[in-house]
Amino acid sequence: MNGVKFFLIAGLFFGLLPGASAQIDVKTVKGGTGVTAWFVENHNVPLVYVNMTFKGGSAYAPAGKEGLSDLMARLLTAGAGGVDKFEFQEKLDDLGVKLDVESGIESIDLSFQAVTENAENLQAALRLLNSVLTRPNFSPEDLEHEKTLAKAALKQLRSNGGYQMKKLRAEKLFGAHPYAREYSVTESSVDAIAVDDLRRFFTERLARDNVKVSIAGDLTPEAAAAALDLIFNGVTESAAKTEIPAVEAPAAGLAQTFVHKLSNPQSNITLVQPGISLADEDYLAFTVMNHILGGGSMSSRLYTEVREKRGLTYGISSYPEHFDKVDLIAVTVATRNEKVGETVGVVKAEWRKIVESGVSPKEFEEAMAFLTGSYIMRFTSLAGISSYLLMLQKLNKDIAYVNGRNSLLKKVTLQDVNRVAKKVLKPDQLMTVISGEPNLAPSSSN
Amino acid sequence: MFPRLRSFWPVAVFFACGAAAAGVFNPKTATLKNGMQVVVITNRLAPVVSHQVWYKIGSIDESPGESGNAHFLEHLMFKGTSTKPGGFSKEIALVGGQENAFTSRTLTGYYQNLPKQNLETFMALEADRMTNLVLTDEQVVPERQVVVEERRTRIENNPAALLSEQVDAALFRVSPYGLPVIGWKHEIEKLNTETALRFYKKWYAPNNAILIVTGDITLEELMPLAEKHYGVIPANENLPKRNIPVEPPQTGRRTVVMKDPRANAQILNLAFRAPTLDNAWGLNPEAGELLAQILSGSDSSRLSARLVYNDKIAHVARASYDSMSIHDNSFEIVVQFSADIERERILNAVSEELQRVAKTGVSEDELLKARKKMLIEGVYARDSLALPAQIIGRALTSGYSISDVEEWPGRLERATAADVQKFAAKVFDDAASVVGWLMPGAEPSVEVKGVENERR
Repeated sequence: MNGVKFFLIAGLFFGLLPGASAQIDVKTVKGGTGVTAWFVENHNVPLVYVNMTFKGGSAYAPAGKEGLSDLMARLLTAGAGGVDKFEFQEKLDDLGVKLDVESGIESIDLSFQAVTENAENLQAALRLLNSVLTRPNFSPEDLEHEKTLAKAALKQLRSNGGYQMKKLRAEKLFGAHPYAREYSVTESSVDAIAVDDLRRFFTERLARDNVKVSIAGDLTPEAAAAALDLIFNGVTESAAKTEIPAVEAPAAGLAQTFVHKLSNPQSNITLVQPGISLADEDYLAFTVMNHILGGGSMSSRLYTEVREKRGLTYGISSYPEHFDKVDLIAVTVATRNEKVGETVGVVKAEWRKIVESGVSPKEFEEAMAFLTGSYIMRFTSLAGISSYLLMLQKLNKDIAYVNGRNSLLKKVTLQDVNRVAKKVLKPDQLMTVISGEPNLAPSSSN
Repeated sequence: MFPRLRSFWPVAVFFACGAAAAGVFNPKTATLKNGMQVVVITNRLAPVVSHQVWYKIGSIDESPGESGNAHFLEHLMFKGTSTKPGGFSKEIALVGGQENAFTSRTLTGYYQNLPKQNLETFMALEADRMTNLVLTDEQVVPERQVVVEERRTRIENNPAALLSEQVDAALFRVSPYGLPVIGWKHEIEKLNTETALRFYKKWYAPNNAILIVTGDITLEELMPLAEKHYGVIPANENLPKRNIPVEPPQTGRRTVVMKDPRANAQILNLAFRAPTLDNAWGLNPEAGELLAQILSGSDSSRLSARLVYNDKIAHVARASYDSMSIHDNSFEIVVQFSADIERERILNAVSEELQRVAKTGVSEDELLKARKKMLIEGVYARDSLALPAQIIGRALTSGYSISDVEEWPGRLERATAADVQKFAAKVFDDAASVVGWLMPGAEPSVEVKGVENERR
């Protein structure tokens, strides 16, 4: 891609929202590689943020090699195109570039940040990114090193309450399904990973038809399209057609309590039940309802009852979780061992209460005011904008949602919220998973 | 994540590895007649503002036996005033804003991130709670329990954090830098309405505070509002001078050995007494931050290269130093390594690397790279709504001026390799250090060696 001119505007202070308009100017850009990005042009600072996600992650790695996706993600920044790890890092530092790759259960996310003041440096940075996506080194020495670190981390996670809680939950919810693999990494599964596995997984997952991209910052649309071409030039065209099987309903353990014994003064607790699909027409009503129940920080019922009134915890929240094959609703909270039973009791009582009695008009108005008013806070930095645009793509939203979200939200009524509470929340289907040394009795005197 | 995450900062705050400001925020400042400093950083990205009030007090100002009081008060500041019983969290939520607060050793801050048009409302409310806080036991008692749970989450559930706490306590036996910001558990449990309000009345005043606003606003736009809401609060003419007990010189290395059944690996937490801006030991504080960067800013840095890649005896090696402290400070090295590696090997390797810098210095190349990396952080900081306020707030509460912040790139450029070597030679003094170990053990235990007197 020689001869591409980057038309950069430096030093202009460019408001995101011209005048009193509440519209974010987001557009799609597409280069010659077939990859499309959601793009917001803004020259507030000489920086550009590129975020991308590939369908991949631990659910896509084979059984017996748990840890593969995470190792691959780490090794993607350990040198590429024959440039070794230390030199690669130096090049990134020299250009003022930040590059981070993370693997989750169903996605591999990459974030790239660069300074735009010097056009040549920016081109060099984009070429480095391209080398990561086409020719990562995956050297045997680097793999051995990461395997050592992974096994050391596994040892330390044995006494990590939050991790053990999530691990037990995954076992109970997913059994042998690939969604459990994130937490079933073992020393032997790590040992089983070879360089060939990395290369195969890389080729299977990091493909142009398997990526979603967002860009925000100091570029024109033409420059953004040219950047896409530089980044994705030569990247594998098609991902492997790996199918994630359906999740059998978490039949084992509905409304049961599972404990992983761990010697900590504070227990980590999660409660989980089946959730609501992103495509459900009631999804925004659910968002409002969840805000009132436990999503809404200090204004939520769970926060008020568990923290403010009873001093049982530092933090508590309820939230949806979405996978391609299953949706969940969960609550996380941590409290001293003696108070676990009492805390769980309060959460379940709130679950029942909102189903039986719904929410008040006041709570509804306050939730709507917060959810609509706070939307602008997603757009207070270019980094935040790029992240949010990628998140919307992950949630399969249309680009019109960026500016349409508040109008859609305002259509939700109090009746919708109360109806959705009954439709979605199932107090008798809450599975409780705890790590610690919990006292499960409903209430105690200290 | 956790709502209202009222955080406290341990010594190694997020700039500890040297990633401080490039100072190109172009802040504008003025001072109200009652002594309150006002700072504005304009950022026109979105029609929002971050409204912050920073108090120049923190855990080092607590009375003996009342560790955690400053942080506890910070929690209680959300409970309400005579004009606003119950606080104003609801009002913030109604406009879609976010709020939080934070306490560290030298500062306490409160902020709201808001749509711009709501700024004045919350300036009034923030000004109100500067002097009109009202507390009842019904509010205070559960909140104390919340703080104890917070301590469990951050410290007691985490052996590495417990070690860090013991190392600080061994390094600073007279100075309040030896106390955890969140407080010792047995002292938190004795805090109450009276301790909190006494601290509040003593220290919270406009002449002990800084107003920092970032976002879609200028100083010209802010000043009339600042005068109207903060300017009317009388200065506390009896504001006490800070009286921080001075840590005596340390004349022999101390050791902390912590065993915990939850530890599956080992940690070395090595802390040296270190200079601050106001107590600089004739050294250049920027040199210290560059030194931390040269020691562990990247995989090829001195400590990582030696311990992780060359000798292959450690998993992680990190150095941290933050010059923005008052009176006392530490330079810390933390190494994580496997249970089957001999501890002495780790300590010897670290000591060798530190002495190598002290005796033979660093190269121009290392210096340039470290400097470049730190300067870049300043550019990235400009993209954030709140981060410039954090940087300036920390600088101003550490005795730096606004122009110091803006001149930081120049100071960084003037720090030489010789300055870095001089810093290392002075600071890496084993006799003024604590060696802390965490290792597996059947029963939890802590043993401290080399201290002259029993700590209370």
